[in-house]
Amino acid sequence: MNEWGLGIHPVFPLWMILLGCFLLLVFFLWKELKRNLKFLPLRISANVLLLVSIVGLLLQPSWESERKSGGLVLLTPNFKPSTIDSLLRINQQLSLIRTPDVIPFSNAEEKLLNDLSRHTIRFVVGDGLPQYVLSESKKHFQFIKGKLPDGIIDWSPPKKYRINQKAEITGTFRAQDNSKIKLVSPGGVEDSVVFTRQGLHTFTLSFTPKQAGLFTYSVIVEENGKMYNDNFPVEVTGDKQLSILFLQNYPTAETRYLKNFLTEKGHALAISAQLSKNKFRYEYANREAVRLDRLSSGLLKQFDLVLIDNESLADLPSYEKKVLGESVKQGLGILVFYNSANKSKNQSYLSLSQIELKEDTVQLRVGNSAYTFPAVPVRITADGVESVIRNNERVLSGYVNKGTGKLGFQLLQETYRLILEGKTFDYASLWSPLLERSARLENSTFKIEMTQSFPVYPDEPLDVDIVASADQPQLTIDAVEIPLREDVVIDDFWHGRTWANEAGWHQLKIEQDSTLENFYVSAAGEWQALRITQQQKANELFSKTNLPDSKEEQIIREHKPIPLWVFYFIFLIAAGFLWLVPKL
Amino acid sequence: MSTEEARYRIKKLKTRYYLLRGGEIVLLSAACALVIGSVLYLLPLSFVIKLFITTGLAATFAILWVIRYQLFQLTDQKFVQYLNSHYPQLEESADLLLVTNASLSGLQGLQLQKVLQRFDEVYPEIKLPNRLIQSVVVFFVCVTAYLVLTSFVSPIVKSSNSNATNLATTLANQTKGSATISFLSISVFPPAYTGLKLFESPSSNLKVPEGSTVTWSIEFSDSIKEASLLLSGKDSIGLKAVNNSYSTTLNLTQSGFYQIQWRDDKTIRSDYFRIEIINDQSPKITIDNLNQFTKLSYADKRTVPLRATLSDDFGLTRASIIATVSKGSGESVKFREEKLMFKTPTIISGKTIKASRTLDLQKLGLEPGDELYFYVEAFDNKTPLPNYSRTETFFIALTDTTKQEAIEDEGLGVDLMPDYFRSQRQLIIDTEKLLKERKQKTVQEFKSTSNELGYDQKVLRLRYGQFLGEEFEGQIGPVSSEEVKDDHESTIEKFSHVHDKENEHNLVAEKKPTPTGHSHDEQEPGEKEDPLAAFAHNHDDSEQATFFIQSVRAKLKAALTVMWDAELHLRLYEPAKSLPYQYTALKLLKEISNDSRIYVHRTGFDPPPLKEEKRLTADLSEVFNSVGNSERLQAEIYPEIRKALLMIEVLLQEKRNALSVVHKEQLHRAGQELAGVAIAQPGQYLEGLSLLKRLTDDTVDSSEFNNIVSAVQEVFWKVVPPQSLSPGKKVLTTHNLDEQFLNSLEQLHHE
Repeated sequence: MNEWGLGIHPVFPLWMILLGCFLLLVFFLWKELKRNLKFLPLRISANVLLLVSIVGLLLQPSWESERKSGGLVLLTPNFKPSTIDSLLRINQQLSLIRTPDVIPFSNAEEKLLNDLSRHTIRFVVGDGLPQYVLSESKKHFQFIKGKLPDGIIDWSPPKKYRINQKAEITGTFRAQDNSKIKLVSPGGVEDSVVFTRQGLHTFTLSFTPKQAGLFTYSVIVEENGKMYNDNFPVEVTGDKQLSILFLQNYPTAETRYLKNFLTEKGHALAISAQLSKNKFRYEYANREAVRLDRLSSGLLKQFDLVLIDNESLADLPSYEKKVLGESVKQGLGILVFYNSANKSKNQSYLSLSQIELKEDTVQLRVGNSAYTFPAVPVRITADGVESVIRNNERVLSGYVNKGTGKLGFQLLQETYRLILEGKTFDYASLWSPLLERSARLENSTFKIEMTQSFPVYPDEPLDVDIVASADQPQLTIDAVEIPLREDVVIDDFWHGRTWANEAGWHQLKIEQDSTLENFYVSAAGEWQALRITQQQKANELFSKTNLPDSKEEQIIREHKPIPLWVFYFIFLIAAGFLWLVPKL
Repeated sequence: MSTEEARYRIKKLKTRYYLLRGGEIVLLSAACALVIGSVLYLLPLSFVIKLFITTGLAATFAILWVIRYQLFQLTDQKFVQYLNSHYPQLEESADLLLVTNASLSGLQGLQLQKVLQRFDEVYPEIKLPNRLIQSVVVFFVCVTAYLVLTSFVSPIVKSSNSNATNLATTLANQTKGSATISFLSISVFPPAYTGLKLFESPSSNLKVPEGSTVTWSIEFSDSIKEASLLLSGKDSIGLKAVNNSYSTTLNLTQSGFYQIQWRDDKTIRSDYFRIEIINDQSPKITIDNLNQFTKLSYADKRTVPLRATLSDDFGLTRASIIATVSKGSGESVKFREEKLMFKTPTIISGKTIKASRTLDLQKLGLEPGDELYFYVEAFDNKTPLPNYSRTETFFIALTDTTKQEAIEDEGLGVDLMPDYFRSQRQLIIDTEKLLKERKQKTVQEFKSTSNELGYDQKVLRLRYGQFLGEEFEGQIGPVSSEEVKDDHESTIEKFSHVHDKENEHNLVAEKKPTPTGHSHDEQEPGEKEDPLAAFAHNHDDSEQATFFIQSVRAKLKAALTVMWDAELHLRLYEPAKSLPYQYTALKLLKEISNDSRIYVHRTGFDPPPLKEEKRLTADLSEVFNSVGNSERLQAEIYPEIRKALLMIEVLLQEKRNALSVVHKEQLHRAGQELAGVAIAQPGQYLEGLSLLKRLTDDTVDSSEFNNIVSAVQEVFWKVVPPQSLSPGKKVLTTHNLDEQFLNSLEQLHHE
């Protein structure tokens, strides 16, 4: 394309054609000059015309023309021909283009996805454009969605799977007929769901990962006797042990069993229980002994969570309370077991406002069984209570954010009964989430986030965002470095782009502190229905959020190839003239 | 040709006909038998039954044909009629051949001559009706059919009929290029008590009754150096070679698995095979007609029929009813246990028995208010130790309608103490009463009463003297001392509650002077002193008697002295003077009874005596803080299997189809853990172990590599047990902006 609007499509390399033709012209002109004939200027003109026509034949030039158009309609896979017909009936000036993966339709011109940005598209029909194309495009178009695909069209797995924690995956399935979805782990079928009617169905599949690591599970869909299999990634993280401090005025069965449970799970515990005035019993599990006689910020930094009952907390000397409060602001978690309703009315930093109730028992469903527990008859009314276990509207255990730390509370009593009954799993599900969510969060300098949603296919761009609380991160994918650029607006926020090359697990790593992020690239052809649905949604969102251009009428620039018979005709006349000249 | 010759020829023809028809029938029956036989061959029936059915049907078939051809009633006349009808040359006159010449008329004679001539001409041409050729054809068709049908019988069915089973064909995966197992048979001798016969195991995976003796005999394709049997959880057992055949015999009591190992140039191991033990079950007993609690009222029949169903997998040997009768209630409850046998059947044997017995409550001695507890127990025929099981305990209660209520009635207490033995307190009361009633009584009465009281005082003194080890000075009362004692124990103690007795609650064993008791009791004063006496423990030496400690003895002696004085004054008819002595005696006796009480230690903690000076001072200076340390007992379950799981996942994702040395080592370690699990549950995990072995032995084709690796992964996955959730630390990256946000929020909160 050049300024004149002339385009060429050379058959041979341009320099070859030009050089050849020039040499030929020089030779012909020399020949003509040597011929002792009339009409020299005419002969020279004829020779020039001859060569121009040859050049024209070889270069196949095209002429850019401008014309007014109703706009471009981009056809993407799964468009409905009837939609196009309707569009054309309304606006006859519309012209059609299509993406390479669409079967030729009418006079639609094929355009590569890369070229689309050059065109102003008014309508996109069918499944729409891939998300990575949308993010590049800034221009508005109207999206006319094709039909919803059959199969799993929504799939929302948890971000990370925890070992021994029940994971639930919800999704939506568009069934044609009787169908069955099975979730298969390396150990066999974990869960399945059967649909007997056609239409949209939401479903939940669950499983409990038993082993940490990178696994691929699969979903097998059986429909109409056909069976297809989609793999999905399951990254199971292991447990990071907590460091917990127990402070008690007196030992209780509840803390004893909790201590045993946590010791068995390998957490580092330090326990200080007061036996008498100035006399204490100290216990350490899975850790070295430390001096616990005086709470200091240095000591508390070693711990992620302090477990204390509300009476002991109230009895702490004021300087220790202050130290605890400061540590909480800096991230420490405190979990308060309520032994009784707080008697003292004076509010401190580490107390939670409450209302006294009458009921001192609660009925609770834990796992698959219902239990009745004694509970301290209070309701925590502090602001911003996050519940972990609740019964109707009453939060029985939960936490409140205090600074960067947490202040948790547990109103349930005598939960050790579950252990005595042998229901360790229920006991664990009662305590583990509470302890985990109340505990101090481990600070990591970098955080890698992938912006693409599952599934990602080979050779698609992958955008990576990095939150860095330190200097510039150095990011590698499978040990190949990726260039990063810092966000224009936000400090310490970095963006990078890479391309996944092969299906399977890949690893993003920050070289400074070896922060890892594993991501999975699905094989092409898997999760088609999901991908199409996501694409349709993204296109819809895009067409709604980007404002339309003001003018509807557009000027379309088109390349019209100059018909080759013109050059052939010129060639014929010129050659004919040169043949005729000696005879004249 | 004569008529005789003609007759002979007819007879010959008849015989020929019989032979032809007979041959025909035999061939057809045989064909029929072949078809039936070949069909039966395919069915799983015993040979005798098959033979029986085949011959039976074939015989029936033959008989039907005989009836059809009417061979049994083929007379000469009929035969001749046939000739007449088929050979017109005979001019319907062949019957003349059978008639004796004498009875023929002239015309008949002429005709006979003619017929004879014709018969002679016809004879060679006579064809008797038969289907011999067709029968032969049918027979051969059936023979072919038989051969075709029987050749389709599967070899397994065939081999199960043969006595020694060659399992070598079932041993897949034999290493090529070295000696392989060419013959393997496993005979199982179940223990005798099961009544099961010796059988050949149809597969290398064994399923045998507990305690079976199993014999392996193995032949190898080439000569080998040695062979052994590797058993799970045990050492290997060498196989004994006899004529190129290796065998061993084992008694199996535990489930597990085994491998056959042999060595020629290299050591080769077979696949893993299962040993599943079918345990002998304990007998099962159900009581069919009774509820666990049965209450009978007074009017009900005192017989309860008991019907029980006993069953066992191999047989029962013994069964009985253990009945316990409980009488009385509260502290005085008494139990009596009885073992009752079933009435029908009297001898317990067999696998399932309906046993019954009627429980006669009266015979068992049940009275209203009593209860009968019983259960049924049964033993099976297992040796050496039979299995035993019993039912729950069943209760039969006879309700008591006449329950007595104990009423405490004051003022009705009757002192049933006999006159001749009174306590010191009683003596005092009586003495005081005597003094009070002195004026109403005559002198004679007064004196005699006083004397009697004196006598009682003496009896009392003698009684206490006993505790000091003093010998009796004479008879107490009107009866012999033994009778006194007996009465004292049996009558007085039973009905009264004597407080003044020093040995009140039988805390001290009372000394009973028995005539045959201690030999040193009977040492007479005149006798020679026993030289051993110094070394013996002489109870009856009052100075050495060990009933009481020294202070008590002194008090008792004093009391006895005082009693002497009291008795003296009573005998002197001076009860008033005697009273002070009696009081003193009473006081002393009280003290003695208090002193001589024995306190039995309670078992349990014996606290050290408190230091009074430390008590309640709140001094904890010597109490130290205690420190405890603990660590988790079990780090991770099946760590190697877990590692192998991850490794396999990577292998599968990378789509490899061969194992490196590192992989194999890891699988080997995981295999060891799996073997531990497989011993307990061979049925579930043995296959996985076999696959693992194939992987590590490199006997897997690349085409099936992925499937096998996935199968191994599946097995590993199943082994890893589910665990409870543990809290874990979460990771957070805080951006500078987050912190600012939190700080601002905090400030807002405070404002």
